[in-house]
Parts: sequence; C-alpha cells; structure tokens
Amino acid sequence: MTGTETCANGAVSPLLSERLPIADDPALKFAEPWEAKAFAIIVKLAEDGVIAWPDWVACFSREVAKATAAEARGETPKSYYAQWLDAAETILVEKGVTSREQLLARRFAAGSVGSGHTMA
Amino acid sequence: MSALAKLPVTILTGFLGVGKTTLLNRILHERHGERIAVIENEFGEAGIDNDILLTPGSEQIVEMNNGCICCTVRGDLVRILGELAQRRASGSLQFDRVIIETTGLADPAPVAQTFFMDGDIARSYALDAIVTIVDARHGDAQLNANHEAQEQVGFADRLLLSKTDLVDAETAARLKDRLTRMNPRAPISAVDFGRTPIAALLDIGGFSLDAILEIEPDFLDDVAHEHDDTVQSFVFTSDTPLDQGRLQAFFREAMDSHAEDLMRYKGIAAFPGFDHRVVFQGVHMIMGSDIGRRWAVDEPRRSTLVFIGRNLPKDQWLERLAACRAD
Repeated sequence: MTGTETCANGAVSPLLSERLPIADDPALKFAEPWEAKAFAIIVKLAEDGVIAWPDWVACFSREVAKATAAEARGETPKSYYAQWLDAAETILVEKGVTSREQLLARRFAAGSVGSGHTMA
Repeated sequence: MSALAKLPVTILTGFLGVGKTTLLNRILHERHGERIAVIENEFGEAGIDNDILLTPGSEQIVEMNNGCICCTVRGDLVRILGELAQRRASGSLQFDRVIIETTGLADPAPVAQTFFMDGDIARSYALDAIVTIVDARHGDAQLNANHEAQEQVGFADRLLLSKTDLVDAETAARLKDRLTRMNPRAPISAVDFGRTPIAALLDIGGFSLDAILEIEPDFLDDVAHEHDDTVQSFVFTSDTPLDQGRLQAFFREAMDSHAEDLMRYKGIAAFPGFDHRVVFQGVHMIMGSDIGRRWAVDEPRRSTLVFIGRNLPKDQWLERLAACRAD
C-alpha cells in the first residue's frame, strides 16, 4: 500500500495510506472480527464512491464528539470501533443503504441467540 | 451464474426406501443445461443404497469450538464442499447447484448447520431448502417406529409424498394431516417420480427470510388427532404488537433450556413503532432476522410464530409468548 492511494472522489484517504491510524497506534488493532468488518465496509464503500470521504470524516467526527461528551457525563466509554460502527450506521442510513428499522430488525436474531449464532 | 454468486444447495432426505435415489436419477436426467454436483450418503464414499447406509457411526460430527452442542456440523461435508468449491474455482469442475442426499438415518441438523457455521462454506454456498420424502404406504409405520423419520419431517421446508398410487385417497389424506401437525410450515405435495416437475423441488427458498409463512387455517383448530408424535409444532399469533426486548428474552431462555429440541422456527413479528414486519427463522440455536415488507395501512399487524421440535413445552411457551405482547 502506498501513501498516494485515493478514494473514488479524489480525496486522499488516510485509511488507504501509510498514515492509517490503525497502522500507527497499537491500541487501534482489531480486537474482534466485527471491528475489521466494520472498518472494511466503510473503506470499500468509499473506494466504490458510495460514500464521499469528507462526508465520512465529518460523520465520524460527530460520533467521536458525541461519545466524548457522553463519557464526560459519566457514561460508559465507547471503544474506537464502537464509535466507528455508530458512525458507519449513521452514514449508511443517511445514504439510504439501510434504515434504522432494518438495523434493528437484523439485530433481533443476535439479541435472541447471541451474535455468534446468526445466519450470515 | 457469476463465479461469485453463491451456489444453491438442496438437502434431500427421507427414510430408507422412500425413493430418494429414484428422484435424484430423475433430476440428473431431466435438468438439462444445468450441472448438478450430487453428494451422496457417506459424503464421498462410493456407492449408494448399500449396507453402508446403515452405519451412522461413519458420519463425522464435529462440535464447533464454541462448545455449543447444537452447533455441530458435518466435518466430512465441510471437506467435500471445500474441495468442490476449489475445483470449481480452478475450472477443473463445473457445476451450478449441489444436491446432498443424506442417509435414511441421518440427522439433518448438522448437515444444515454446516452452511451457517463454517465461514468458508457459507461464503460459497447458500442452503436453499431441506426436502423430505415420505413414503405414503410405509410412512405411518416409519413415523411410529423411528424418531429419525419424525425429525426429517420436522426439519423439512417441503414434504413430498411418494408412492401415493399404492394407497387409497383416505390413507394418503390421513398421513398428510399427521405431517401437517408435525410441520405446518412445509407444503406437502404428492409426487410421481415419473411425472412431477422437478422445478418444484429446487429454488424453494426455505431459508430465505422473506419467504412467505403460510399456515393452513385448519391447523389452528384444536381438533383431536390420533398420533402422539414426539415431533410436534405449534403456532402463536397476536394482533397486539410484541415487545422486542421481551421476545428476545423469551428466545434466550428457550435456547438455554431447549435449543436441542427446537428444530425449526419461523416468525413474522410486529413491533410497536415499526412500519415493517420483522421476519426471522432458525435451526436450533442458529437464527437469522431481517426487515420484511411494510405493513399495509388497513392490514392487521398480526405476529405469527411457528415452532417445530421434540416435546416442546407448548403451553408454557404460549403463556410466555402471550406475556411478550407490548403494553
């Protein structure tokens, strides 16, 4: 991977370069398979032009700010990838790729049998 | 079909001598222009319908490393499906569809679960349906004597009644009634292996979440029936929307106590504030859910849940499900 790869919209993606946060910070290594999946989905959708990179950056920043404010109020801190996932859901709903209802519907099975037992 | 599309898989099951091999031969001869990989019996062993059929010990049942007893898969099936996918990818073998014929004594669950629990298999193949053949002449006796025969009926997405020409209409109707009580979600059709269109057996979508859930209205009438089968079913309906959290809690407790006995289940649920149906289904402890179609404006938002299993605590579960109605 080189430092010059770009998204479909032409913006330089920090996620597709050597400046990847994941590469710099050992704390951001994937701890669970879903984290890598959530990460890859966004990168792929950006590559395919479904999401414009600046939109993603803005969305993720808003989620991070929300989580930081919640933590300051004494709520349970959210991990980096939990924040990433929140932002991913928000932007995918905004772009009409999915809906809040569909996300809740798909979570029904995981909440009933445990996430390790859901049909793909 | 593109190389990336998942290959449809049909599991063909039924007790010994019901006519699985006859039907398979028919499919292979009739389905021109489509290449079908058939995995038979002992999954890779040569020969069919011989004595090896009676040796269930040769199945490789593998427990997944999460230690969950109901998440067993067939190790031999994983191996052969993996090899088939590799040979197809390399171009040395061409096929568009897989039919797995299980032994007359096999438990269909680990075969079906293989498609959901093994990541590589789930990426290459999509389980279409479990099709179970029941012998119209001997079916009653086989269901009385063998729990395997009952389980094959319970797991089915479609039931085929063979050899109906050997019994009178009343006998066939009685057997159909018994099968419907065991498994109300599987349509039953009489088959004449010489004439029935093969298309009726394939692409059934038994595991697709948006498949229509149709229950015979008669099934809901609680009439007396003559058999006390181990494999039974029941239906819960509610015109009041259900509380999602409570329904999930119901399933978690049901799985804790009865995951092994709960063979198949399928449901359409109305949740308060949801404009769409939520559809779900499962095999034992493996479950999928998604959004269904939007409720029509003047349509009653009726939830319908079907459960099929062995000796399920029907009355207790119905009571608990009734308590899932949203306030």
